[in-house]
Amino acid sequence: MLLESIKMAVSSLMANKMRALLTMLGIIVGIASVITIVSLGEGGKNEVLGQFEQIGASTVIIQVRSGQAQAGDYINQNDIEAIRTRIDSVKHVTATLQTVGHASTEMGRRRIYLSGIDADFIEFSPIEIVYGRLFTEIEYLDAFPVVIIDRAGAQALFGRENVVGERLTVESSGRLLRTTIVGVCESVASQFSAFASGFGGDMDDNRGIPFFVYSPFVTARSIIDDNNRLSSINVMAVEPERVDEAGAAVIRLLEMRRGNSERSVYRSQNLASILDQINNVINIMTWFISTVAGISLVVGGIGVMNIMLVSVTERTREIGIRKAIGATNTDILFQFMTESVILTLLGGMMGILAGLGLAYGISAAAESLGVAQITPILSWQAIVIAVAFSTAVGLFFGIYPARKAARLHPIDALRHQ
Amino acid sequence: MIKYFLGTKKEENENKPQEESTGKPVEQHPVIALRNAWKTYRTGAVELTALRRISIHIFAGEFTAIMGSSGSGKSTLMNILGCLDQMDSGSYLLNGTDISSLNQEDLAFIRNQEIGFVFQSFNLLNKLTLQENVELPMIYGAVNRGERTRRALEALDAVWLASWARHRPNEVSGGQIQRAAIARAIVMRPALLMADEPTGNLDSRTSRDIMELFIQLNRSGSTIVLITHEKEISAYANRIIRVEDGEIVLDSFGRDAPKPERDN
Ligand SMILES: Nc1ncnc2c1ncn2[C@@H]1O[C@H](COP(=O)(O)OP(=O)(O)O)[C@@H](O)[C@H]1O
Ligand SMILES: [Mg+2]
Repeated sequence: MLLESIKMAVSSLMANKMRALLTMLGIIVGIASVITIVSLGEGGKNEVLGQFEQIGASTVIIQVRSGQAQAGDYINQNDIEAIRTRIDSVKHVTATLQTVGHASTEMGRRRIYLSGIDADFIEFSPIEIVYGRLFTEIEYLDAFPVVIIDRAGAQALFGRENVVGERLTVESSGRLLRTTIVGVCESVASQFSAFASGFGGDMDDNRGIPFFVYSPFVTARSIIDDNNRLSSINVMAVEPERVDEAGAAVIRLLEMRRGNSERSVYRSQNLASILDQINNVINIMTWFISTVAGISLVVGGIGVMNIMLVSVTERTREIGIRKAIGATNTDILFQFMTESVILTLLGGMMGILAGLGLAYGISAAAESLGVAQITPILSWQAIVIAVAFSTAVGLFFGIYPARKAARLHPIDALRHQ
Repeated sequence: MIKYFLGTKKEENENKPQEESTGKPVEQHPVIALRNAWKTYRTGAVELTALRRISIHIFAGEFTAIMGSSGSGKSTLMNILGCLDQMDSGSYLLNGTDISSLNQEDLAFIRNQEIGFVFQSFNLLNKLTLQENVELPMIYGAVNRGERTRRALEALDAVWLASWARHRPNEVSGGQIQRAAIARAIVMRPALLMADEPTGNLDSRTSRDIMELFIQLNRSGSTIVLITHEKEISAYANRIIRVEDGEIVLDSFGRDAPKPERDN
């Protein structure tokens, strides 16, 4: 009977393909928007998680709240030294200067992320050297004009990978620095770094994820106009369990040195709290889109109900015939319910495909604009929920027309023209 | 071929002795036992009594024509006999089953198992092929697919439509459509075959073919109740019940009709 009902429903929908498609539109839009946001959200979360895993659970980021801060509140090299030597829950501490700039050779000029790093940096975010070497202690201390460039950058700027010893002109905010390349590292297609550096608005040239160029902290400072102010440092606790303790100790020390504890200028963030924030953002977006999708599902459902009512009226005589030859009320109810559920289920499946297509489209667009690199992830849970929702819509909005059909009196139905 | 479509269910008949000379099964109780049926239609304030104190007994193997002018209550009577509608008062036993005590689902079951309908306006589903139309009652009767196909083709063969099985109603003539409708009506081997003006939409030549088919079905055992207002059509029957203003005014047996024993 089920098989027969499905066959009947399919043939009746096939007889009105355009109408069926238009009816499904609301469902398709609703499901597609949920699938798009959920698969992008999942993909984004996954991507960000991957980046944060590199940093590790022991890391805490100390930030200066720019709103509350006065000139003297920013962190300097002496503070870092104090943190390193005086807090025993702290294992490493690093300050990183990051900016968007350009690098040029005879072959061309490309947008780069310039990171000024200190010796502790690699404890937080390893640099995988492919050719050449890392910076030496003396280079860190004496602001040598040396850089490490990533593989993709070398390829783009020189047309080959092993560019150790080559000259590279680095510029940022109008200042130029002629440097020597001492190392080539593995490219990290790192959105986290992109995130963290808060990339500026200059999208004038070379779209796409920029390349990474590292230099010693002091070297970078000579061209980055920061007035010797650090608004953020990374601290690594001796063990993950003491990450909160280390964060609190660092803030206490900074406040003690400045005497500004009453203004709460500093805040700490660790993996857990950052993940919380990201989850929050994704959840808010998911809820927002889900509301939109919910509305569209309801509208779609009303469309289904409407078209099913039309269908019941058009097929009144058919219902009469079926009843005359032995269809029970339940048979008729089942037939029309099957039809509305197939309608919404089909819409749901098309919605899943459309949503996935849209998600991949958005991700491709985002990547080519250099905004982010996210691979959409469609979890089976999302599919199950989409299928369940579209079935539920079909059942809920199909029941009224189906009951109307089932309750028709056979004689009245047969007499219908 | 037509022998398959006996007046009562094949299963019930299999072990019963059959009188070979007439081919009609010997039945103890009437197929139709309607007593003192009343039916009044109410449309707003207007009341119209369509049936008054109707009592009819029809036995297996009879070919009865219900005659009367338009509006006399023939269709109302057929709807009640066919379990499509319910009367206001009276009692009705169909093949021994008390119809007045049944709910909607049971009535649907009775219509499926015991009754075959042939309508004036054919009432086939246009989007289905003739074969699919004939299979429809068996779908509701939960007959499995293989059996369904076999019986549908058999029934179509019995009405000389075997080679038209895959055509749709709009691809065949009116007479062929009505023959397919007859195939659909007999495919469940019902106790009662009911036809409401089955030739009303057909020309006289085609009408004769259809009536020949009914005769043939009756000869092989089908109990038939035919509704008509045409004398020529009623002449094919061996019993004529005349209705006027919702009442039976005449109940006569034709010359070659064997008068069954009556229990009243
Ligand atoms: N559903 C109905 N509602 C009201 N009156 C009806 C209905 N069906 C039939 N009638 C009336 O009942 C009478 C008998 O109708 P019907 O049984 O169709 O007669 P026939 O089939 O002999 O032409 C007619 O007067 C008709 O108008
Ligand atoms: Mg009539």
